[in-house]
Amino acid sequence: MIFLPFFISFTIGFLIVSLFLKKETQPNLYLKIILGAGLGLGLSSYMTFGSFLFLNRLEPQIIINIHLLLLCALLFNRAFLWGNNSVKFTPPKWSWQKSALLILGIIILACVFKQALFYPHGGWDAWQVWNFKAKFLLLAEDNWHNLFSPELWRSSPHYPLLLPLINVWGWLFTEKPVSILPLITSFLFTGLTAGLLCSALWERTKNLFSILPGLLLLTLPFFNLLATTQYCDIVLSFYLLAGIMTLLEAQKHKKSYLALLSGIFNGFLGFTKPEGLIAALILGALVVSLTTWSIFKKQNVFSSANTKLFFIGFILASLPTLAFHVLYSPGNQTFINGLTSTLKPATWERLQVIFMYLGTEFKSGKWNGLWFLILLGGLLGGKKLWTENFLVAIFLFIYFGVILAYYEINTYFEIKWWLSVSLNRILFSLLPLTLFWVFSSILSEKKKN
Amino acid sequence: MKQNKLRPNLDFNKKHIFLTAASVLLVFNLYTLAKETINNHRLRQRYPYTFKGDWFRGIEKITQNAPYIGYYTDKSLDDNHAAMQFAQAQLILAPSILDLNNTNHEFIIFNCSSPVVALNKIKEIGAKALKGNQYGIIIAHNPNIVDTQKANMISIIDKNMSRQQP
Repeated sequence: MIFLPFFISFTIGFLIVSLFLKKETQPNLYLKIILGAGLGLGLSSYMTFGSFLFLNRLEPQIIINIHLLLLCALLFNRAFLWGNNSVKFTPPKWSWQKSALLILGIIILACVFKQALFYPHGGWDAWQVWNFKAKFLLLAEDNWHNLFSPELWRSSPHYPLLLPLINVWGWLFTEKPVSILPLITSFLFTGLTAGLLCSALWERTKNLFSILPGLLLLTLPFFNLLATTQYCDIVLSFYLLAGIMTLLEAQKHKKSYLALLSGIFNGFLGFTKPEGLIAALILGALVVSLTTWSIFKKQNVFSSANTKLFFIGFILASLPTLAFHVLYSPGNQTFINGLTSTLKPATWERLQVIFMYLGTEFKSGKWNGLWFLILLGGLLGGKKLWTENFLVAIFLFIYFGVILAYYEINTYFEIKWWLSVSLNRILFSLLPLTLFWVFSSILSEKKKN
Repeated sequence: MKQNKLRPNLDFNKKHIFLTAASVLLVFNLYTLAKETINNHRLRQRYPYTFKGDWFRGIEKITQNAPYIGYYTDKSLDDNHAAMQFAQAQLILAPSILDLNNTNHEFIIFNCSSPVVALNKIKEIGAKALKGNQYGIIIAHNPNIVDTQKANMISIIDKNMSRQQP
């Protein structure tokens, strides 16, 4: 029963992805399944939020019925309305290499799950923020607005609700808020992120080594620890990678519904965490800038048809975020503007600490030298890092710059403590995208003239 | 001509250097993952997982999901253990909101350094201890306070009742 909500969400997502892409060049099946899973979970979260938004309370039966109705409509559409337009699926050929990889993957995932069970209730923010909010939303009935009370400032009431609502959706099928469900959610997102990285790279490079970065992530104990600790960072990481990779794939065509998917993923990204919202806005601004640049330079880098589709998806998927911030969010109660504050000013020393800490973090042994591998890739990738993957490069630099500026400007927290508890998570959430950037530049073949 | 021939080799070498480094790292990662998994397994066998939130289980049966519950402690929340207990208690007792060191609520949880401190405080505010457990957690009822929300609800019910009466 515990897997049923995930199965329903995955199926809905997969059918919608298939529907969007039915007339286009099909991406590989694994990629479609993973994108479908991400889309389905995001939609389930939104449908659950709809119950709070429109009915002012959690109505389990209505949420389940809407899911089932949507599922039936999509299955009906698939069975009777697609006709011969759909692209036939040919199963991949089996080989001993694939069997060996599958066995290795299962062993690694078993180790990851074992590590997740080491902390069955997750980490600190899981109790204080994410799982607490999920449980509150599930049980509070008419008092659910109390979640935004100032007394709960430790639980960051201004944080968006995508992950808690996914867990609420899952708990609708269990009799009580069982603690294993958030663990399964985080484990699934860990697997989905690694899988998305591999399949997206394969789609882009068609190189067998596309599997390598996914394995590097799943075998890194510190990555597993953060990924399965039931925080929202792995969810952010997944939607960030999904939003950018679908956008890059859409660029290959003049008009592709992958751009619509990208916009939707970007909207989900904004509902994960405040950092996710910053990332989503930066990506949206980059799309506008690149489209304008393409029009002025008369180059077909970014077609306006794709931009339109991207923004349709982005705007639609951002409506819950907008509703959340306008109607419910009490605003960030842990912010002091260091630029204007005389009591807690943003100082030069603070900036020095930030950069020193950043250097220490990159060198830290807990990453097993992965950031040095990325640096090596950056040095060897050369021009391709900036030409073929310009969008990812510019996004990473702007996003990282904004995050560092926020550390400097918001002087509410003592900087050393704040960096010690959050910087590793920022780097963790950027890791899959950074690996995608470096590996796709290295593995892609040189274009023949 | 020479340059054209050399260029692909250079790319090929770069790719191989990078992939070799990545493969070495993967082997190292696999080793650390196996080591970590075995160590964690041994550690768990020696020290079973404890969740401090379990200390507060059962309280919800008494408080009946009251919107607010007071949480009194003489420990500083700057201390990680005390802060962890508070955070985990909050998770277990959700959707009730724990109001830290505010005793102006109908129900108050006392998590003090010793039962004597807790009982003295209970006496001081005129509350009545309802139940205690082996972890030193005491739940008390303050008869002088009725939660504002509950008071509002009672007044609404009273009004409705009086309207219905002929």
